Amino acid sequence: MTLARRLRPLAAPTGLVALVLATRLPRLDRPRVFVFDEVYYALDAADLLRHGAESSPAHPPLAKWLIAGGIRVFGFTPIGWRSAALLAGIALVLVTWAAARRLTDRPGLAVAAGVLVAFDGIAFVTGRLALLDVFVAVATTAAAGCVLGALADRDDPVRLRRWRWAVALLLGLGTAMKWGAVWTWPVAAIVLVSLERRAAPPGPGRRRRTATALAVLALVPVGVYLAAYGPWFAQAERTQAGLAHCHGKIPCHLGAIDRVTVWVDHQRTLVDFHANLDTDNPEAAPAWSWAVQSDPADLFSKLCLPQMAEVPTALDDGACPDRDEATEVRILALANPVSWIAGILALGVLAFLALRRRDDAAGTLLALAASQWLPWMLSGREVYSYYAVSLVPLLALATVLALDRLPRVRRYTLVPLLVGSAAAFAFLYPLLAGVALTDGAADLRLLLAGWS
Amino acid sequence: MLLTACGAPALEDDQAAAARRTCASLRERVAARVLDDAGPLGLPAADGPADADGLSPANLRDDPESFYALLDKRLTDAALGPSDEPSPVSPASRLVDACRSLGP
Repeated sequence: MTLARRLRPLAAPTGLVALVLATRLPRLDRPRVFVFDEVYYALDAADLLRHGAESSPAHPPLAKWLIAGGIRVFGFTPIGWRSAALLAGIALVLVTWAAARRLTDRPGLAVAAGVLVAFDGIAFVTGRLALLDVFVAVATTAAAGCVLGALADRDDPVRLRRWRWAVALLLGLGTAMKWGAVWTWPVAAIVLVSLERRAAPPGPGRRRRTATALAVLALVPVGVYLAAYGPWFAQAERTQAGLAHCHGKIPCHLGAIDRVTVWVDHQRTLVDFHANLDTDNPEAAPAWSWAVQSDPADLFSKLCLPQMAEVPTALDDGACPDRDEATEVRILALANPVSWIAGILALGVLAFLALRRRDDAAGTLLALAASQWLPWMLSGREVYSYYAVSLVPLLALATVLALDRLPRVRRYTLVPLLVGSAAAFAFLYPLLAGVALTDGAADLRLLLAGWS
Repeated sequence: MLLTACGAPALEDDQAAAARRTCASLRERVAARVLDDAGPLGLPAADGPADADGLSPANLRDDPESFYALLDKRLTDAALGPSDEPSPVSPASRLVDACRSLGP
């Protein structure tokens, strides 16, 4: 086999990585300040590095450990606290491509799925900021890919078992980053347990396999979640819950039982926090508004006046250009309108395929997408548009699955879809990357009232 | 934990510097927005207590050098660095409080 032929399988992933790096690396260090919730996660990550535990976190620690890894390598700089998100954004594109390979025999369509995620605005923005959501999206998308892999390998018990373990591990990792990952669990469990039941002959063997599958899917994520808290257990006395247990007395000494009690108290605090989250933040918007992208979260907004050129270097956030005219800098968590609309339409096609053609992959993908959207609609708590980053890859997969199943539609729409997504991304890029725009240029791009 | 065990880099100064820049950015963004909302004629004549302060939007408009000099001084006085002792208050909450202490 020639070297060129041997390297050919690497062409697609290498191209996707190059595309993501080319679009996301420039200006990664701008603005040079904490953007939106970076103020929590970058500082929490630094706390993890210094003490092994955050004092009063609102989410489990795993994603913040990943952010801490970037800070460890590059220092406490914008590049340092954003580099892990950049890598997670690359991983998100790659796992989407890999999952699409399970859905279709057409390599071009799999690449298209990766390209759609690479050009999506929410994936772009969360893949350049120290927020937690892109990490969760990698875990849930990889888990979805494994569920789709299990569907494809339903007649192979060994591979089925491997997919089940992979899903359990990934959902544990995702939940240890942010609880939103847990919504994928019921869909994954129903599909995987059903496949196990069908694969086993009737009788006690079937019951045993079903019970084993359920046990793995329940216990492994719990084990991973607890393991992610290992450093926390070791440093519990440095946390808010630990200090409360010691009644604020420093040094605070906790025994093993105390640490478990403190951890349970901490989890209870997290439940209360998320159940009652209502900060009146103007950037929150109901999850149903994601459908039309009518109210994207404005993560950074700055009017740059000529007077601001006087700012001393040590205080300069690096957002404003050196110009004599007023400009505006924005970072909006806004999906790519072209691929987003295609994804929503594709969900309708999947519903048709699942109901009329009994297409298992279509039904499963539809349920996985619903699991990352409906809970946010029903939760009643504050929701932000960038939570949809877990939905973006599933919409891309829905699009390529619909195009795979509808060849006539594919012939006429695939190229326009990719070109349109690239054009929309290029047009909206300044609003996603925080590039200064004049009034006229900003107005041209702020297409809906809710974007202003 | 492994990362911590490997020896954390000296983050304190960089954290304090990032916190200073964030506070300064918030302050000038608020001031610029007020100026923008006031329209081309500038701020209303009756200024109120915020305008008597050196960090007022009007001062950013008329004398940016003194605006930034005062901002720098206020930020130097504010406690923006991380705490060495365990604290029930997160670093982010401390930063938010310190930014608020800069005044209206």
